Amino acid sequence: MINLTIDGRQTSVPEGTLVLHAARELGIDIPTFCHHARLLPFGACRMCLVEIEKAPKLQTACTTVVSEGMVVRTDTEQVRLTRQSVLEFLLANHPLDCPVCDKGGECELQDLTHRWGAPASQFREAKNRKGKALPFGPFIVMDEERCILCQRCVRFDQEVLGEGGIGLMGRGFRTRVGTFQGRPYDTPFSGNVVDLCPVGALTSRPYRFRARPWDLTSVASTCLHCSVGCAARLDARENHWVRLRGADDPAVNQGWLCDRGRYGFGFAASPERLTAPQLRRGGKLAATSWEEALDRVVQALREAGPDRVGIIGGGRLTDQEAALLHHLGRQVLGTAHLDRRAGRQLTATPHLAGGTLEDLDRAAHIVLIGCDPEETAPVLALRVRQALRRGTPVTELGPWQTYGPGHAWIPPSRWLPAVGSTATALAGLREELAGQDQPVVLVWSGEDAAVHDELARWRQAMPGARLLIVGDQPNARGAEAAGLLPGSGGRSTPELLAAAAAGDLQVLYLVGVNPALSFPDGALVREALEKVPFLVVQDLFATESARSAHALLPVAAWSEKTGSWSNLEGRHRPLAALTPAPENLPDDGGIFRELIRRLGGEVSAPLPAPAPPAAAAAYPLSTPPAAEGLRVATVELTYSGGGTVLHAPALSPVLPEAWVTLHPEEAARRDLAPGQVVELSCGDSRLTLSVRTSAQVAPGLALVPRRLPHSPDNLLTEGAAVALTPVPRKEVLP
Amino acid sequence: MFEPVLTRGIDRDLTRIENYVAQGGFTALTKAVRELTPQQVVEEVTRSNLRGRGGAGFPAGRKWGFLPQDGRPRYLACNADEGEPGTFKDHLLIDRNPFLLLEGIAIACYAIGAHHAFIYIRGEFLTGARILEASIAAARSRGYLGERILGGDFSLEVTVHRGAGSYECGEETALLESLEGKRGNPRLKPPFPAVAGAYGMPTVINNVETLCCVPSIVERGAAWFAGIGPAGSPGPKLFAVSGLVRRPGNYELPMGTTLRELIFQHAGGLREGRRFKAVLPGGSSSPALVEEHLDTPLDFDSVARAGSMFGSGAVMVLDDSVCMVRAAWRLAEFYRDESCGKCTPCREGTYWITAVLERLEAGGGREEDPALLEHLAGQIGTRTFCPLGDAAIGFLLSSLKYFPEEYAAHLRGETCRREVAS
Repeated sequence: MINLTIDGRQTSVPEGTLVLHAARELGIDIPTFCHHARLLPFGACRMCLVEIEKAPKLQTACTTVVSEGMVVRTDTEQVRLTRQSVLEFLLANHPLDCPVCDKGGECELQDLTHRWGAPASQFREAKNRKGKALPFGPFIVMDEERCILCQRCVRFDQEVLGEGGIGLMGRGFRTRVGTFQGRPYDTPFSGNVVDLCPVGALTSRPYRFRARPWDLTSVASTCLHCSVGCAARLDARENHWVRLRGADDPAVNQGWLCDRGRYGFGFAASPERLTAPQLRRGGKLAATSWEEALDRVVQALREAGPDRVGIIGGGRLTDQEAALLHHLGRQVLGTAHLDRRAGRQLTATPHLAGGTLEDLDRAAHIVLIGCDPEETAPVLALRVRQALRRGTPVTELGPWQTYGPGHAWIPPSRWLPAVGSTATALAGLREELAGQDQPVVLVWSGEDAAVHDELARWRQAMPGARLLIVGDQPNARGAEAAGLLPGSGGRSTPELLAAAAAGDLQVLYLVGVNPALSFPDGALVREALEKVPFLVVQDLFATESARSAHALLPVAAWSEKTGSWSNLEGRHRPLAALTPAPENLPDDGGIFRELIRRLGGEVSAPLPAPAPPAAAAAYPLSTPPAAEGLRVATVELTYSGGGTVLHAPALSPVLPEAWVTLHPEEAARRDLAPGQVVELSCGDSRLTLSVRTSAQVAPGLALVPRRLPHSPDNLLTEGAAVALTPVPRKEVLP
Repeated sequence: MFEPVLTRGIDRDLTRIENYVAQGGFTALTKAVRELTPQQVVEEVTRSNLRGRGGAGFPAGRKWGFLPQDGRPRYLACNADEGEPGTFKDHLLIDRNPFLLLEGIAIACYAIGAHHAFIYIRGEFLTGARILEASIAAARSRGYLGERILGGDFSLEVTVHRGAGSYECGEETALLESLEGKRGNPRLKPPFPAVAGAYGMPTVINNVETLCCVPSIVERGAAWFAGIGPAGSPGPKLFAVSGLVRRPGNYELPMGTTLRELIFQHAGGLREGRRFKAVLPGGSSSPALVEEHLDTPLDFDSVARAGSMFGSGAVMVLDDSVCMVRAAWRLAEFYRDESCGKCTPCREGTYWITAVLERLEAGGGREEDPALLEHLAGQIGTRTFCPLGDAAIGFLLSSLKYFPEEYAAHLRGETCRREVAS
């Protein structure tokens, strides 16, 4: 411990502590602008200058480390004058447009000026003019005149992202933050710079001019977009959700968010949202009352009997709702046919020691198994980037490589290309790493039964290995813990769909899932949904799976309900209601309660705890024999999907187009150039896609994005041979 | 009688290696690598009390001794940025005596155990960069650089890196950033370059002229060097005299030569009918001195005692035809444009000061302007991230101190006292 004196008060802090933090611990506030807890000490704004005995000049508290016997003074006339002057300098060329600035009311420059600034400025000269309302990318808008050049955004980009998409341009008073070569700032993490900006320089399109901070009501909650579970602060103005910001949960997101989570909130206010229950009458869905709708569903469930009912879904529910759904299915309806899974993922619950996000920071080796965390768990990926930059070995197994060579600041991973043989490659890696007692962290997509079995062998070979499974639904893990997996004698999702297609199922109840888009066998799921005599769909929107629904039950969104859920670590994540649901829509739990009540069940007592989840219940996906020639592989994208992403207006500029990525040699062999439009045919199915090339895709593969509503990948059969035919360019008449 | 050390034989085309060798060039390097241990070279240079010629005056031998002995590769960066207005001494050494610099670099690298040196040369010195490239090739072909120098165990590669035109890149950490291909902004210290410099490795940064002093110290001994000029900052020195003197140019003289001798004897004094007004003794960053200071010896300590700084030894002379307000404005403009923009007081303060001075000079002065300028300068000085802020206010404050009546005259709307140069 180091002993020092600040403003006459003795204190003792650990070695390496900054003077700023030592003072804050004593309750002595030293104002700062460029300092940020998640960024390296910088010392540029000079707001935190303090007197330190024996130092010839004032020192920045945000960069100076304490030393034994140090005597610091923050309360002198000189320090006060310096703060006043720094503010006067910052405001000299500032536009002082607080009344029309989004930041007014929560602006650090405004707040510190009120606290430390001079009553009036001595600046009488012409102000330095810079750019206004400059587009920085799909979401960010820059006002250079408001910028105080603290470089938090630039440092975030360098230190946390390692991208270099923004930086300082020009010098002296002409210095400004700009994008690299004027290109759009299109990192998937761009919104964090708005959270970091202490002034109103960086604003976001979805929030610009929407609200004044003092009119906002806020709740602390979590982002329910993916299974990372980032801490977030949600803001509403007059019951309209206007903003989602990152909050600093050190173990989870450290304050960061991805743009998908941050700017996807517009779905909640979409006019496309279902606000009334619908029943099919005379071949058409028509709005009806809750009373009638629930009666009809209850009647159908009763008539079917337990063995001819199937329930799919649960990974978007809260833990409490998942428990209710389990109760409804298992106890009240008495069916074992429950499965939260609706895609390719077998399990979201680790079957060897479960890892934590912080394990990635301590890992001696990180293994990514068929998993692109940049797309499916973006904020987790930030820790992988940091690991790569620290020199931690990262091995990728699968059809593509996420962390390829050629990046300036992020060293490449080691890539073991594996097409349909990921388990074999994983076994090889197990032998290579066996005996190593350093912690290995495995990050897996949860897909491929052979990988599942191989991982079971890792448990013996490397007891220290930790597994993180990126859930394909945010609360996949909570749903599995609640027992939303088929029990003994129960049918899994593929079996339920097969039964429905074979006319062997009476009622199929889809809860917050859209298998029409997510289930890999598109033909099977379409047939099943068409043929099942009674299809209940409970969702926010009329999804692709709801087209042949007989009952459509709208629900509250996650921002409209309170509860908790479990992220990929199994960590408890809170949800808090920000706004009331439109038309007093019930949440999923409310519907389950009502169904339970109408079916004669009981929910008042604490629900019986579900049996421990079955170890990755069987999930029989048909796999075609390995084909010759070009084969289809699919990849999940951040912005794929047909539900909320389509209905969030802010996201429209970043929605992916339909592409097929080939290894450059495959493209050259077929005489295809990037940007060329091709028809990809597989059996009877055809998709029209534009060609991309990447050396980070294994040769022999046609990589296609998953779950695009306008180009459903599940019309193709993963692993099957495909043919590519160039689509002739249409002549454009002059 | 002082004999030139740095410019010896400079009229005999020392860019030809045979001419340099013929006058005894590379004997110091030969002596160092064959007869002395690296530690002995460091000790000799430390005993000579050679102080850095780039402006800060830090003892070179001590700087070399700071490198941690931790097995990491270390580098030497030669600061040849010479961006200070009024300074043109390194330019001369690079263009006319390049092998002296390379010999100094090789000895310094031998002393500190570096196997790679970078010469960070001002972008505008294109000729100099070409001369250095050719000289490196010539020295390498004769075994003075490259693998196994002079047949011994010591190897050294020298890379010439051209800057892209920024004054700030003369600051050592900004230089390192620029060298690494980044924006030339200063780095936070600590860590100091001796611990984490170029590419994160221990690095010594020495000025061209400093390194050019090293061969003679090795050859003739520390005692000889320390005996030239004042004990506190000895050695030969190139003085770059500019401004309104009859014979501007580089003069190699012992440290401690007085301003009066330099200006009136060597540089030929002022033009006919002109009176001495002020002098910037150490480049545009140094506060002006006036008539009463003319007997100040030009060395680090004496000039500091007189209230200015020795800096790079660039002496800028102003006579009575110069308007001090206009001069202050012109210099302020330079620093405004060359501020890197990283820290608040420098970026905003230089803009503000320049605007006030421009207005004053144009006749729009306000009563409070001199006090405002003093206030602003006070809030820039010592508060900036790097020394550029202090450099930006040195001349301004001295002009307010010694020539308040010129500011007053501008405020009264009287014609500026500057007389039209005849």
